[in-house]
Amino acid sequence: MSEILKQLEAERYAKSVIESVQPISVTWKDAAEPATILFSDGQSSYGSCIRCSSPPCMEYSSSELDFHSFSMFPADQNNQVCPTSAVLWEFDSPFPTIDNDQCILCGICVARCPSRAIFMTDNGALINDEENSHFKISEREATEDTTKESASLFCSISESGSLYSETEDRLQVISTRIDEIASGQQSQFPNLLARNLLISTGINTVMRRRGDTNVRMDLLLSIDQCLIGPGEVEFSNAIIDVPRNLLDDVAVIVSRYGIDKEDIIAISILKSLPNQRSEYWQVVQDIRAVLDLKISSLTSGILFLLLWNRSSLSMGSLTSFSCIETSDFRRKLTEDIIKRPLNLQQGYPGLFESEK
Amino acid sequence: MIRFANPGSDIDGIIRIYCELFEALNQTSPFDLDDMSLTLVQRNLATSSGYMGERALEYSTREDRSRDPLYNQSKMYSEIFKLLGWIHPLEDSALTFTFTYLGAHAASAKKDPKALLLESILGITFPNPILDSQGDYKLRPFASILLSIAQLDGVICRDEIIIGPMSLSNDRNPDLFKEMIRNIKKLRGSREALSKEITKLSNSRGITRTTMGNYTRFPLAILRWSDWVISERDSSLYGRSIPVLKLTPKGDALIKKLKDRLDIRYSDLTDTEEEKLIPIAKLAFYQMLSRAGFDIEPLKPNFDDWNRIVEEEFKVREPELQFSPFQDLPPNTIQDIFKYSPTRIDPSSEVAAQHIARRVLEKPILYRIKVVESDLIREVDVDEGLLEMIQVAYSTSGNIKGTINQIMADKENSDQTDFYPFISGLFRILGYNCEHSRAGVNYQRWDAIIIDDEHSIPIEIKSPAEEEFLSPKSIRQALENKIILLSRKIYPTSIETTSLSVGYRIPNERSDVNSLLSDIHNAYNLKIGVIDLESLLFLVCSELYCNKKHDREALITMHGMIDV
Repeated sequence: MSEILKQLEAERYAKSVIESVQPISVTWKDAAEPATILFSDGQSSYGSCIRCSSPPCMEYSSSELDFHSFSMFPADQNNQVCPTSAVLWEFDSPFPTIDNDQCILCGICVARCPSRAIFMTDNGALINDEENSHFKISEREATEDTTKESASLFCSISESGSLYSETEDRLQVISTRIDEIASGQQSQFPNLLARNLLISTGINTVMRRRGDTNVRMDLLLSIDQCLIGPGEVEFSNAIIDVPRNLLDDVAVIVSRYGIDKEDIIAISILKSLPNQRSEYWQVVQDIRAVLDLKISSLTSGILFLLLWNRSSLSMGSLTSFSCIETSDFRRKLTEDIIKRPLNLQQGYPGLFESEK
Repeated sequence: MIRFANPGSDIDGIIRIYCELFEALNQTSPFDLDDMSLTLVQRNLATSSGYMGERALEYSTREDRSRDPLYNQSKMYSEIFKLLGWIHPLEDSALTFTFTYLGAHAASAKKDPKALLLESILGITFPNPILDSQGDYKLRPFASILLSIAQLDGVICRDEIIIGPMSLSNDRNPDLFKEMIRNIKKLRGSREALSKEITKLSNSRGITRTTMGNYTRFPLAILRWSDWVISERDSSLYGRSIPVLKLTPKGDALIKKLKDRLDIRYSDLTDTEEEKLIPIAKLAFYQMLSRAGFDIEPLKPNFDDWNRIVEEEFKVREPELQFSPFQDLPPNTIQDIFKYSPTRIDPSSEVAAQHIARRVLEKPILYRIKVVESDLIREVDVDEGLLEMIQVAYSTSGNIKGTINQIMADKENSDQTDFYPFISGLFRILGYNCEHSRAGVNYQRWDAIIIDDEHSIPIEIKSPAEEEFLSPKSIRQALENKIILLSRKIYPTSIETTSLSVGYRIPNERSDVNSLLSDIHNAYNLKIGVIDLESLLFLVCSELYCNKKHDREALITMHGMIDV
């Protein structure tokens, strides 16, 4: 009987930290330069690609996409980290590269690199593969074991600085890139971006499969194996549909799967907040008043900022985003989470505050 | 026009589903569509009627299999996998399958699954002995589409694909190919001319335009996913901006490679003796695997012999073959050549035993509203013009049924500006103080409202121009209307009072709307009533011509689809 042949794999040599030193801390520069790592010999080097066998800058592991709090959810198993597939590893390249024409500057890959080899520039993220006094190419091929060994050195080192500093100009560029690049992406792009941003901020998130018309909720979120609730992602002008879609999502979860409505927070992820007079806000309040159902409204920009500052969301902070009393609470809340004031003008369009 | 099943446009998802099916069913092959459905729901890869997991199977399975959503979903997938040569039907049962040797490689290609899928895509030909008849087409469709784009200045739109390469009768006839390109070039510049061609094709083939569009979904998704083309908008072809596909350098490079390959099809081999057929099939198959990144080193010693025989047969030197034996040769022949058969165990003992199809019949939530004899006392003003219109219909037909049919026909294309006041007018005839909202009044989210001292009822209306059948969206909007009214207290109402969704026809996907109505009631304890025009007209005509009034209390608290 004929045998099954194997697909060829490239011979890729691992790069690792030289023996006898340990990384101690990481300092992120503003941009255009890799993070600097201080080692136990008192010397510093740039972070450099260790050529992981299953690169976390490209793919999530299956355990990262497990969703134990609602295991029957028919989640899209897309394990792609970059929402625009800009991170590539060509067959004949020793390390992955980033297609800057496709990069939307989200920073998700940057935050996931164990050896801090990826850094942001204003043209897109870049991967540093240069050898230096602390990173040397090994004579061993990269395997799961060599990757695990090298990556584990960086697990609990202290970090300072932001992966990317927020400015009005940069956020504007990102917004434009999302609009331009998203038009060539699959319709699942906003959901994929939102899912990956939420995962980066510590929220276990799954998204529905593209084309599955029977499951209407875009996302389902949990934290510490405790279900948070459904999420709707809206990057277009159809924001007014979001609250009623969330009502439908919550009804399904409560009615069919016996979860208490009081235990659910519905999450709306928007590209920018609707203006103050938008019916969106009134309907969110109506739903709160009549059904006591909280809807937390976040923007993708807020998630970018949390990610760049390596900050996580908690159940408490997610609930706080459902506040409807004051206009500047989102800014304050974000500052509380990232533990510093934001370098953005009050009223930056639709990011924290609704326009009038 | 050739047809492609449309299991969805997420090609990565289709590959993932195939790998899951292979993992689950390879050991228990052969398998049928129910085995596929069971695997899909067990692995959370399919849903039905809003249900997940095994409940999806329970809610999907119907006596009439053609209306069983999961069964149909599995059928779509099976058609695509068959087209790719990854599964073959059994000789005596077209809907029972085994995985092929090519399919086993597709499932093992974890490092780069895309490469072998694209090889299989290029391997598709019509006609072939595996697929059902596809009409009288002699085509390698994806190569033809790519070559057409190249000859059409690197750009093509969907409708051109429909009338062009997907309807080309023989892509090996250079005259026919040139004529097809000439025709498309002639059409460019005139949307009307293109539309006329589409209509002509639609009429001659007896396929609607929408269905023709659906047949292009899979090929368009593949073309984009492969990076052979990119999607753009272009206004230079037909005067206004339309979505088009533009050839990429990658697509262009592939076309050059295809031109250098020896294109072999089943029809070229029907009379070929076995001793030649075997090396042709093997050389083609292993070249295909090699292009997809497989290590064919163990087979290399045989290549010289295979090459020599193919060179002699086709009179070419060092041939690179464009021929996919698992997509182009009869299953029995291919099995004899490659001696590959998946493990087989008694199908009745394992998987088959697990899936006892639970056939449940749909039970819509119906809400009965009776009409009883009563003297008509109406306390609200009614639209005299509307009464007159109903009277004319009644006089013409002479009975209630005829009246309803005539008004239904008159309102078939009615839009918002006509339909909303019409509906509120009918409610006024029934004695309700019903007002329709003026266009642009955003804070009144409902389209009409029955104003009452205690039981005001918001009404969400969908005109037939918006949707013929009421959809789940209209139910969601009715729910939102109710919440807004309860919250903003613009008019008095209560939790127990219904919120109405009124449209031309009752939802056709009843189970979806049913589930939603039931979910809303379970989760929020709110009631939504669904009323179609025919039922509403019946209530009105009963009142006008039979002195029978409907049960007002029942309507105020209705939950479910009206049953009169």
